[in-house]
Amino acid sequence: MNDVLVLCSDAPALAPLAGALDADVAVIGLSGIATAKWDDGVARLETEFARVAGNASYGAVVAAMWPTVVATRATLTDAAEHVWPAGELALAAWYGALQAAVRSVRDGGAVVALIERPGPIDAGGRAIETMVCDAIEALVRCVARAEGGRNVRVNCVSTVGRLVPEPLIAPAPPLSSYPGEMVTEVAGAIRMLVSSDASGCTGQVVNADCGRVM
Amino acid sequence: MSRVVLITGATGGVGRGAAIACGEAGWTVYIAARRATEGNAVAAEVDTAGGRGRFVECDVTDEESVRRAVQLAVDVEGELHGVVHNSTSGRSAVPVDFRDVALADLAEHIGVSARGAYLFARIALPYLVKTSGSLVLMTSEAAIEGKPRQAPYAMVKGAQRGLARALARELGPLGVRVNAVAPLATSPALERAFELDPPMKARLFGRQPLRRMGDAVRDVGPAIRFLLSDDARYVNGHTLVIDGGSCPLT
Repeated sequence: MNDVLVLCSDAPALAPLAGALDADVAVIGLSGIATAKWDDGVARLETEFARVAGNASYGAVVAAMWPTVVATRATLTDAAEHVWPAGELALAAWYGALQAAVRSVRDGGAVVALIERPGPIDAGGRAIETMVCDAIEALVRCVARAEGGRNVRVNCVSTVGRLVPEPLIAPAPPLSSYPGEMVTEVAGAIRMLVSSDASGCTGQVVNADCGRVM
Repeated sequence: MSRVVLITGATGGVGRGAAIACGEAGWTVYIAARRATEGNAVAAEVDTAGGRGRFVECDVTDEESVRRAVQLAVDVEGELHGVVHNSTSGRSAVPVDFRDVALADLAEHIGVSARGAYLFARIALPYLVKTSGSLVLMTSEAAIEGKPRQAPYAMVKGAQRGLARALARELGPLGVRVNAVAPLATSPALERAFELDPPMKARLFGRQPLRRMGDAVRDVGPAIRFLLSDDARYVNGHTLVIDGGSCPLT
C-alpha cells in the first residue's frame, strides 16, 4: 500500500495521476450520472463512496471528481436543460469525495482537491464548471478549518485540464507550457502540497495553470 | 428613476432590508417568498417607505413557481429592472459536522441557493435585457473564508459567487450586469445561528472593527440598491462585501 490515495472519478483525463504520484487509486464511477435524477444520482454516489475504506490509513488523499465527459461550451441561459441537474450532482459528488478523503487520511496528513477550472476570464460558457469550482474552494476552506484540530491540511490545486477555451481571450498566460500537463505541472503542485514543505499551508488554492489565473 | 425589482426571501433580514431601501427610492418591489402574511407585511413597509410593495408567492426551487412570479411582475408593471436572489435554506443557520452530512441533505441548500439563482437568471433574462437590468445574488463571507460548521451553506454560497462571475461575462454583452453581495447584518437567520452556536457571536464581534453588527435596512439595503441602480452601471462580476470590515479576506 502506498502512502497516497487518489480518489477520483472515472474521467480518462485523471488516469495518469495515480501513477505520477506513486499512489493507490480508488475510482468513483460517474459515467452516466450526468443525466440521472437527483435521488438516483445521490444514491449511486453514496454506494460508490461506501466502497472507500476510510480507515484513516493514508498520509495523503487527492480527490478529483471530474465529469467523465466535458459538457459542450454554452451560456447558462442557453444550455440544454439536462446540464443544470448534472451541476447539482457534481456538488454532491465533490462533497462526498471530501468526506471520504478526510475519513481516509490519518492525523497529520494532507488532503488535496484537484479541480478543473476555467480561469475567471474564461468563465463565460463555463458557468457550471465555475460554479462547482468556486463551491469546492469554499468547501476546502471549511474542511481545512474543521480538520486542523488533528493537523490535517486541506488544500486545492486548480488546473485548466480539458477546459482550454477557444479562442483564448487576451492576454495569453505567461508560461508557454499552458495549459500544463497532469503528470508534470499538476502532479508537481500536488506533491508540494502533500509534502512537509507545505506543512504551514492549509485552506489554500494553488493555481497550477501556467499563470492563467492571476 | 423609478424601477421595478423582485427580491426573493424578503420576508425578513437582509431581503427585507433591501426591499425597504428600494422602497425609500420610490421603486416598486415584488417580495417573492412562500409566506404571504410575512410577505405582505414587508410589502406594506415598502409602501410606508415611499415605494410600492407587492407580494408574490414563489418557491425559488421550482421552475414553474419562478416563472409565475416573474411573469406576474412583468404583466402588472410592464417591465423588470432587477432581481435580487436572497432566499437561503432554512438549514443555513444549523451547525453541522462536515463528516455527518448525508449527501441527500444537500438538496435543499443547492435547490434554494444555486438552482434559484439559475432559474431567475434564465427566466428573468429577457426582461432584464430590455431594461439593461441587473441580477444580484446573495452570497456570504462563508464562501470567502469557509466556516467549519456550516460547510453545506458555505459550499452553495461559493457556488453563487462562481455563478455571478460567469453570468457577468455571459450576460454583459446583452447589457445585463450580475453581482453578488456578502452581507453581515442582524437577521432572524443570524440570531438563530447565534442561539445554535453561541461562540459564533463572540467570534464575529471580536473581529468587527466597527464594533457593531450591521443593520439590514440602514447598512445593507442601500448597498444592494446601489448595485441595482444606474450608479453601478459599470460594476459587474463583483462581490460586494458589506460587513463592516469583519471578513479579513476581501
